[in-house]
Amino acid sequence: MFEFSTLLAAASETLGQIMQPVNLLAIVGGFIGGLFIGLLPALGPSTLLVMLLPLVFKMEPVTAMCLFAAVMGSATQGGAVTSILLGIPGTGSNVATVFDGYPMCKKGQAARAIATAQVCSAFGGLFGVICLVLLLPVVVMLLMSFAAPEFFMLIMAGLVCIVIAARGNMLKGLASAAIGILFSFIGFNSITADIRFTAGILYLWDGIELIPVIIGIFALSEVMMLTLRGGTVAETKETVKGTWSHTLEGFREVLKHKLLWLRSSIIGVIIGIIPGIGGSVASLLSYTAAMQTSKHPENFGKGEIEGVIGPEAANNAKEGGAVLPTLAFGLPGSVEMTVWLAAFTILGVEVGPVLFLQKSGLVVAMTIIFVLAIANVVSSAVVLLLSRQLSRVAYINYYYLVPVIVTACLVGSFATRSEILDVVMAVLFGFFGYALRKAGFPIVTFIIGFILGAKAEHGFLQALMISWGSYSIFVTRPISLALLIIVIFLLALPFIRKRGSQKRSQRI
Amino acid sequence: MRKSLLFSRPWLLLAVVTAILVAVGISGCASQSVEEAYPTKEITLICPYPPGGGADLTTRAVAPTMSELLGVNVKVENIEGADAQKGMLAAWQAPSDGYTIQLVNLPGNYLTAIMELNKEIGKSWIDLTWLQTLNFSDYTLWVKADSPYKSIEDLIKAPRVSFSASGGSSMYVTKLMINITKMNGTVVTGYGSSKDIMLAVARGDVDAVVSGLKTGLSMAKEGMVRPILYFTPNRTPEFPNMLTAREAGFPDLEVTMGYRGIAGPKGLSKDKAEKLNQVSQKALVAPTHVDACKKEGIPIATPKDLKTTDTEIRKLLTYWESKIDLLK
Repeated sequence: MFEFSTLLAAASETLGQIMQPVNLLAIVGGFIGGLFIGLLPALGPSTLLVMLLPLVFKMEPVTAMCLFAAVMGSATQGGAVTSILLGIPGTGSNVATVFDGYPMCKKGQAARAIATAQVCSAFGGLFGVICLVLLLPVVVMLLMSFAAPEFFMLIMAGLVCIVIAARGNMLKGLASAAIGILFSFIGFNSITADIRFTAGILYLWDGIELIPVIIGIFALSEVMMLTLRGGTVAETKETVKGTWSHTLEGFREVLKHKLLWLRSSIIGVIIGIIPGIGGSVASLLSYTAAMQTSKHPENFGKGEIEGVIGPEAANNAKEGGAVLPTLAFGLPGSVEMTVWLAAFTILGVEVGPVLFLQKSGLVVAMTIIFVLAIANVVSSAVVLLLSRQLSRVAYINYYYLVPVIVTACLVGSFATRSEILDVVMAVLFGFFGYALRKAGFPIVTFIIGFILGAKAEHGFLQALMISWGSYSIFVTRPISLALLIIVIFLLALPFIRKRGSQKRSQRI
Repeated sequence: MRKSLLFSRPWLLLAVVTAILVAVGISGCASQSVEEAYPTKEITLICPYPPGGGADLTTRAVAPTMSELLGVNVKVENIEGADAQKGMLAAWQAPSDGYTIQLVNLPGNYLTAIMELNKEIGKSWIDLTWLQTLNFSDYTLWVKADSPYKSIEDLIKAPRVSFSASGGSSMYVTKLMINITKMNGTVVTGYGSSKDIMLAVARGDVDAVVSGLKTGLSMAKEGMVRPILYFTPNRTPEFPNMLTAREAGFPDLEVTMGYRGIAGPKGLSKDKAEKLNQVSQKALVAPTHVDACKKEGIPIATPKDLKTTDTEIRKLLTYWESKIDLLK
C-alpha cells in the first residue's frame, strides 16, 4: 500500500504538526471534554462528537483529527469510573465492567477496580493503536474474510456464554436470557422487512434503545435496592492506600492476568474492525471469554478482578480497530466512526485506499494514531491520580447519592437522542430490573440476550439469503467453521471440566 | 317592551357597526402585513436522518444561506429513526405556518411510508408543499471486478443472481430492475450503508449491486469492483464507454433516484411557499451547498420555480406509486 520511508516521513511531519499550538489546544480541549462526557452516566463520545461537528467546517484536517481523537481516546476511560462506583455504564462499551466492577465497589475495593481498569484500558488502547498501524496494509484482506456467516458464529460464541453466566441458577438464567432475546426482537427487521411487537408505536420501530435499558436495568433498579437497604454503596470499609499503591496494584493485576488482557485486547480489535457490531458486544464477548477461561468462573458477578480486566482491555482496544475500516473504506465500525466519516466529508478528506497513497492522507491517519495513543495514556493517568478521591463516592450516604444518581440517569437517558420516551423506557426497565433482582433472575444473562439476540438473528438470516437457503455456508467457509468449532468447544467446556474434576476426585 | 339603548339610537348602532368593520379591517390588514413580513421568527428545518450522513450535510449546507436570505435563523433539527419516518411524521403533523419545513429523500421516504408505515398517510404525502429539489444520486450497476458478468444482459441470462441492498431508494430501484428486466434475482438486505453493500459485492456475498457512482469509485480504482451500466444518461469521464439503461434497451430503468429536496406541510400558503422556493433556489447554488455536493460526489439539481418543482415531484411520486406492486 505504501513504502516504509513514506510512512516515516509522514510520521515525522505529523509529529511536527501536532506540536503546533492550535493542535495542542484541540487535543487538550478534546481530552477534557472526552473525560468529562465519559464520567457522565450513559453519555458516550458520539454525543460530544456530534456537538463538535459544526466546528469542523472551520478547521484544518489535522486540527479536527486532534480534537476528535482526543475525545475518543479519553471518553471510555471516564466511562469505567461510573460503572465501578455507581453501577452505571458510562458508555455502552462499559456495560460488562459493571458486572464485576460494581460488586468490587460494594466489597470496598473501588480504588483497586478503578486502578486496574485504567491500567488495562491504557494498555488496551495502546494495543489497539499498534494493531491499527500493523494492520493497515492487510485491512482489505481482513474485511474480505468477515461476512454474515462469520458474524453469526462470532455472536453465537457470545450467546453460548449465557450457559456459563447462568451457572448455579440455570433455569432462571436461561429464562432471563430468553426474555432479553425477545426484547431484542422488537422493531423493524431489516432482513425480512417485518415490523414486530411494536403495537403500532413508532418509537418502537427502531427497537428498544440500549442506553435506557442499561440505565434502567443496572442503575435505577440498583438505586431502588440501595434506597430500601439504606447506607452506602460500599458495604465494607476500604483500606485507603496512597495513589501510587493503587496504581502499582493496577499494574500488578494486569501483569498477573497478562494473557487475559492480551486475549481481550485482540477480541476488541477484531470486533472494532467488523463494521456494525459495536463496543457493547466487544465488552460482553471479552467478559464471557474471561469467564469461560477463568479458574474461578463461579466468582464472576461477585466482584472478580478478571471480570473488569476483560471488558476494559477490549473496549479501548476496539477504538483502534474501528478506525481501520473507516479509513480504508469509509465503513464506520461504530457510531462514533459515523460522525468521523461526516467530519472527513466536511474536511474534503477522501477516505478509502486512496487515503494512504497521498502524503496528506497519511498525515491525517498518523494524527489519529498518535493522538489516540496520547489521549489513552494521559486520561488513564489522570483517572489513576484521582482514583482515591473518586472511590470516596462509594461511601456517600444514600440520602445524598440517590437524588444525584436518579437525576444523572434520567438526564443521561434523554440526552443520548433527545427523546423523552427514552426516559420513560429507562424508568420502566428500572422497575423490571428490580423485579428480576428480587425474584433472583440474573440480569447479566438478560443483558447478554438483549444485546446479542437480534444481531445473531440478523447474521443467521443474511447468511441464508447469501447462500440461497443452504445451511452449508456455515461450514464451507474456513473462518466460519473455525468459529463454529470454538462455539461447540465453549458449549462442551463445562462438561469437560466437570469430567476432569470427577476423575481427579476419584483418584484422590 | 323597552327597546335597547343600541337600537333606540340609530347613530350609535351605526357607530358600533363601523367600529366592528374598522376593527376587522385593521386585523385583516395586520394579518396581511404579518404575512408580508414572513418570516418573523426562527424556522425549523427537520432532517429525518441522524447527524453526520449525506442528508444531514445537505441540510446543513443550505440552512446558512436560507437564514441569511430570510433574515431569521433556519435551525436544523435532526429527528431520526424509523427509517426517516419519525422526522417525516413530525413535519407532516406540524402547522402549515411556514415555520416548520423538512428535508425529504425521494422516492425512498415516500415508498417506505406507503409500504411500511401507513398506506393512507404515505399516499397523502404527495400533497406536501414541494419547495425545491436540491441534489440527486445517479445510480450505477456494479459487479465484482473479476465477475463473469460483463453486461446487464449477462445478469438477465444467468440462472440466478443476487444483489445487496441497505434499504431505501437503492433497494426499491434494485427491485424495480429485477422486475422490469425479468431476471431471476433476489435482494439480500440488512447491510448498513452504501459502502457496505459495495463491499458485499467485492467480497462475493452477492453478484451485483445498484448504487451511486461515487460510492464505488475508490473501490473500482483498487480493482475490486467494476460498473456495467449507467441508469441515467449522465455519463462520467471515468467510464466514457459504458452503456446507459436506454442504450441497453431498458428505457424504463432511466429513473433518477435519491432526490433530496425541501418540502413544507400540506396547505402552506402560496406566498410563503413562493418565498421559500425563491430562497431555496439561491441556497441551492450557494458555495456551501455546491461544495458539499462536490465533496459527496453528487450532482446538484437545477433551481426551479414552485410550479415546476411541484409538477416534477408529483410526476415522480405518481410513477413510483404505480410500481408499488413490483417492489414488494
